[in-house]
Amino acid sequence: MKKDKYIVIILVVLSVMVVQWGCTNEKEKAAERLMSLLPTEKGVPGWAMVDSAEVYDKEGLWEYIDGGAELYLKYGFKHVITSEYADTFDTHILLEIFEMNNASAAAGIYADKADDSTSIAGLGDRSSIQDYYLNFIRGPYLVTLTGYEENYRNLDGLIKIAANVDDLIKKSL
Amino acid sequence: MPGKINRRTFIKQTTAIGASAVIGGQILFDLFGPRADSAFAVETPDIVAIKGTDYFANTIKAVDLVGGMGKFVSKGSTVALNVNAVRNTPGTNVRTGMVLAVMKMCYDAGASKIFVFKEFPKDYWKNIDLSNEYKEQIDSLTYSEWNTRKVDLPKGKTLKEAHVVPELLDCDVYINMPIIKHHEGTLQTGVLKNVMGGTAHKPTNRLCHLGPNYKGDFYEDIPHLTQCIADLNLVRKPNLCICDGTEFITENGPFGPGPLKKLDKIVVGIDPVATDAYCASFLDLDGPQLPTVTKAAEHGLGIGDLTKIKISEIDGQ
Repeated sequence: MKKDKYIVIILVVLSVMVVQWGCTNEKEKAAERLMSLLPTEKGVPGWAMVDSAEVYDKEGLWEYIDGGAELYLKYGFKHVITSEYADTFDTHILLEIFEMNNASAAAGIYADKADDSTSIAGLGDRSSIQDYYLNFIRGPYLVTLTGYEENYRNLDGLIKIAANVDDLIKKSL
Repeated sequence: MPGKINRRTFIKQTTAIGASAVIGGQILFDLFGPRADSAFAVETPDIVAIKGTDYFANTIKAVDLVGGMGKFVSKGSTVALNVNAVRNTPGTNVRTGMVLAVMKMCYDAGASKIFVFKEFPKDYWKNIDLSNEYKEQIDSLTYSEWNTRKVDLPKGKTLKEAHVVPELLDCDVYINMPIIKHHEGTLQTGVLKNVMGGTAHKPTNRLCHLGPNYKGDFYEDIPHLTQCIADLNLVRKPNLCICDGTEFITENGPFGPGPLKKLDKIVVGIDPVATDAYCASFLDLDGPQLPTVTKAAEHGLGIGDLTKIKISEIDGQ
């Protein structure tokens, strides 16, 4: 009886370890996949990554957008990678690439966050640019770029970075 | 209660004496300090809304008009600031100038320590030149380590207990500093909602958002969420509410990015319910009817009926 009890405990511990290993492995794979979608300075001349990229999974999303995570989770969220870019004038843009479960999940969250009233021809499956931010979807990805100012350099950066991310996504699909 | 007047009368009166109140008030303040109002029996408003682009100066002026920071912070007291500033997205953060002004006022009043619940986003202090002048104070801020303390809420209708940051309970003075902005679930974030975002630990926060019967729909139970927010405010009432209504998102809240509305208003109040009810008009909402406002008012946390509140609307710098 006592022996059985120990076997059960060992099995439970092993299963927890396997699940944890699986999650870590999945997150690492996602990080690798999403890192390949981040523009380099070669891809977007004049704009460089100024912060190390961070990846969040479902659990981490609560930390990243505490209070706003539900919307993404509702539509089917997998991972997000975030990074910040800056030009030589110190104009900063935040890039977020949300990896959703599939294209319809990406379309769902996009419809909630954006509209096509000011779309950019050829960018993503659908796109929307506003005064200081831009959203587009391509396949299972929702890409959000946010500038911190409303000026020409910001808009120029939004479009150039978005175009490069779109190219990288297309190549990956 | 002598001198009890409603909102409309108060605004009319303050407009009529506007110039003398502002100029004269400043002279009295210069001569006698923040207690000049009591010396001359000027009625202190419950809410001050100040309009202008000098957010540092206007925050100080608005706090002075509700009695001055010395009314809330005494020598040696500890202060906790619940500032809604976690991302750099425009229209989602409290202005740096407002936080600097509050820090300055607290230290000037004799605060021994200032706690901040959440880390500020990267480059937050670079937004304003004044940061160099107040570097010492900025460096002296103590950030919460987010230990947890369980609080029983016997009067809570939905939440019977909450897990919050200990500094919320341990500080002598608690100042709630939200930005007024859109929220997908509660329609507005403000003083009441900021308690959930800024002080509650994950299990409490999740329970509020998802509810006990969560089936996967986004904000499927708004009555549950708003009741939880009202209940959570039972943990501790703020001593002072200082709201950023200068520029904020009107959609895609609470994190944006979204369309911006610029009003250049800062609102300071003593009553968290009334302050939220007042600020709701910034988002074209009916403040007294907001579920968080009505439910918090039912708890006796404040007054949602703005006709019973003394409001002073003034132009600042």
